[in-house]
Amino acid sequence: MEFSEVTSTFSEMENTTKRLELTRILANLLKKANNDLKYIVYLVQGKLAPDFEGIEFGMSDKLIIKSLSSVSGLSDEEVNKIFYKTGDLGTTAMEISKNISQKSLFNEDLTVNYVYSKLMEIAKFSGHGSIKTKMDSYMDLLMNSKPDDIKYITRIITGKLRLGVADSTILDSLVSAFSDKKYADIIENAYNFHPDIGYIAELLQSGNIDAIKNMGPEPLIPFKVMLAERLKSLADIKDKMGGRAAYEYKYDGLRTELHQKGSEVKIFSRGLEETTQNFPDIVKNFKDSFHFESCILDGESVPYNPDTGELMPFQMVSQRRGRKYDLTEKTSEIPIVMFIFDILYLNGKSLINLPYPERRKILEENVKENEYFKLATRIESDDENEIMKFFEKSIEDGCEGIVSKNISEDSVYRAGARGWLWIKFKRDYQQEISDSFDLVVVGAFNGHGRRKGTYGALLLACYNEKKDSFETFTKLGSGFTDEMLSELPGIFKSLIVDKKPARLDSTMIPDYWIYPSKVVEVKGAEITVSPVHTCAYNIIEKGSGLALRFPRLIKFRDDKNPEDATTTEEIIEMYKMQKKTINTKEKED
Amino acid sequence: MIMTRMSISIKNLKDIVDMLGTVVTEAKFKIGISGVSVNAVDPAHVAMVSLEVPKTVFSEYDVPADEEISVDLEKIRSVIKLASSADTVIITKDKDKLKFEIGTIIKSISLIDNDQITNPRVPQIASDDYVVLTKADFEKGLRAAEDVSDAIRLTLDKNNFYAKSTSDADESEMILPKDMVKELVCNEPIKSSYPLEYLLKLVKSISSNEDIKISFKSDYPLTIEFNLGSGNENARIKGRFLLAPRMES
Repeated sequence: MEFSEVTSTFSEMENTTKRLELTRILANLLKKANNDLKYIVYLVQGKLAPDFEGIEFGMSDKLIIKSLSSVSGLSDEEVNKIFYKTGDLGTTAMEISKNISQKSLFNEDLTVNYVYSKLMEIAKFSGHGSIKTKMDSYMDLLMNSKPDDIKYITRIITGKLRLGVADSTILDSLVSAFSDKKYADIIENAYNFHPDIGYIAELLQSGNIDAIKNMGPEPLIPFKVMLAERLKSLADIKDKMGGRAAYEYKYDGLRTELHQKGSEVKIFSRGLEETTQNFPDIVKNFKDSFHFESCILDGESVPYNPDTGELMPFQMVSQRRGRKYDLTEKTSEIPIVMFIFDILYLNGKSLINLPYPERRKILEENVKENEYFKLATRIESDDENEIMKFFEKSIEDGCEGIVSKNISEDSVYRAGARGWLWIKFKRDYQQEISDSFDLVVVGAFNGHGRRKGTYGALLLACYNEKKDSFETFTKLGSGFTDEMLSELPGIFKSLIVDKKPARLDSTMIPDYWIYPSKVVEVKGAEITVSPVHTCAYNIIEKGSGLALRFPRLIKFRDDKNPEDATTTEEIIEMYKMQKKTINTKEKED
Repeated sequence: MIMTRMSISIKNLKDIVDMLGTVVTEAKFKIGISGVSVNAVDPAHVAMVSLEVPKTVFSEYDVPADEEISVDLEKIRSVIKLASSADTVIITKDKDKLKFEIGTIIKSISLIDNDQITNPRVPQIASDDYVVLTKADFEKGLRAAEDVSDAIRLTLDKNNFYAKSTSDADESEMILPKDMVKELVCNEPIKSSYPLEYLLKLVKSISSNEDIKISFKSDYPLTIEFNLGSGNENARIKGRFLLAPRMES
């Protein structure tokens, strides 16, 4: 097909904003596309391939301007002037191409295929000498295009085609061109498992509706992940689930698809972008630990402190703002753990149509937990109290909340869908407490990994004035320098006692009990209701105490006595204050 | 099985790679019974280099059958760097590898899939009007124009060869009368402009005392014929350079 047909379709599309109209115009073009169909559906979106292939043009406005000046004999400044006036490089290229002085050795027919292959050339070249090659390939297009053609070609390269056509519009056009409306849902489902619009287009064009019907997950091809609906209360969730359901921690990290086929492992983000290179540890550990023929896992990657069992928010791991999470640098410090909650494919078989409990069972049977791979913590219950406790524990453990999952026969894996099979319950608000706490060290836990040989975390308590006792409030593992860490066992050596010290209330059992003597100043993100800590036990909630989330060390307070520590009363007050702020905030939202 | 095997001086190999490097980074060589040939066109389709390397250029040339070999020129450069210009290199094709032996060093580079490199069309270009001059003389005119404009206008009449560049501010011109060039044939005056960048790169890869033959027509591609490499007249590399014109507004 001549590229001019694409050009005239594009200009027709530019003149309408109505989606139905866009669909009709596009469908007309697609019907005539024949072998060029795949190229056209990519180009309509200003792309050369599905996003997960990571193909980018890598050609700056500056290079376009340089190329325009090269073929026209105009100076960069003169080209820039036209650019300022038009505000669009496509139009600028169109204007300039009317007066191209540089000729080509041979004129090419500007077919869709030719344009696509030249654009691919531009995208393909990277590294040494690539700038010149990119410019040359663009100049070839300039010399062979009519002014209208180069306008759109330039917009494609600069990522500014903007025809207002999303995948769903293209799918509709494809349905209208090659299929029947009754298949629309099946086609969308197929696309969610194989989000490559060119691939789907060719299947439809060839009339292969069976392939579309049977489309499921494929190892190494990212799918659109299943999403959860949301409800405000656990009671509502229980109703919606019709009684008993599964509840899983909702980890606060990066949604992660892990695909493996033979020796190849790929990781994709929720946005279908390949992020394998960001998770070298996970990839290596996966290859070391698991030996499936093929598999696809769905989960959440979270920075995890093995010493405290604490899950960290990503922003605490990645200190560089404005950049993508630089995970590689931090992996040695805080490992990223993938919490797996679903399995879609195993050893050549799709599992998506099995009910969720069966998938979970397969997951448990095949994926043995280790340092880098853990299964999502979960319970099955219809007891609202139990679920509430589970929710509180999830918050305390650094999660966003919980996800309720349907356990009926119909609980299949639905790619790309937000449905009632999964319902999330989360607490939106999180804040940094400006006040610091002075807490007493009452226990210590052995360190692992980098912290082997010293302590990994300290158990801290507040002081209950009324009872004259110490109540555990948090487990501290952050804020130590390496030097401090190595000194910890020495500092507490003389204070270690062989059983729980008197006056200490604790349900937790550390590796070492420490006689209450040393006071440390810590800051934290938030006070949460906790089923494991004894601070203010039974006061805010029956069967629960209060805990400090994300604590980090400020300094040792050798000037303070244990009885000078922050009191339980103070913490209760702070918790109430904090609750008030959260409630006000929620109202404002 | 007899493998393709040839020996060539490093000097000749370097001349070939440098010349192709003026337009491309990867090239496809046609290895034939009587020699090697290659056509390379730059991605903008503005310039083309064609080389004919007769088998007499090689000190050893065992080619059992015609075949094509596509390589990344940068990889050959890295081999050349290992040698001195007096060395001879033995090149053997072994499946998808090209093996280079220089004295005690053996280096293999992977080949590029032949389908990855298109065979450029060779445009049919001919002109009866031409000038033959040394590369050094031509280069002088180009250098004078270098900081004036990105294009140079070549003019030929019965008596002179002109190379002129103009911008709003500056101007440069070289005039070579007929008696200062080796040969000048012109039926009627012709003039045409060409992008300077390509010409500058080209002349860099030709020895200074070589004669070059420049032929063109008004607003028509330019052809430059030249020789590369050392050796006697029938053991030289024959080169042809084509350059699309720039139209004057």
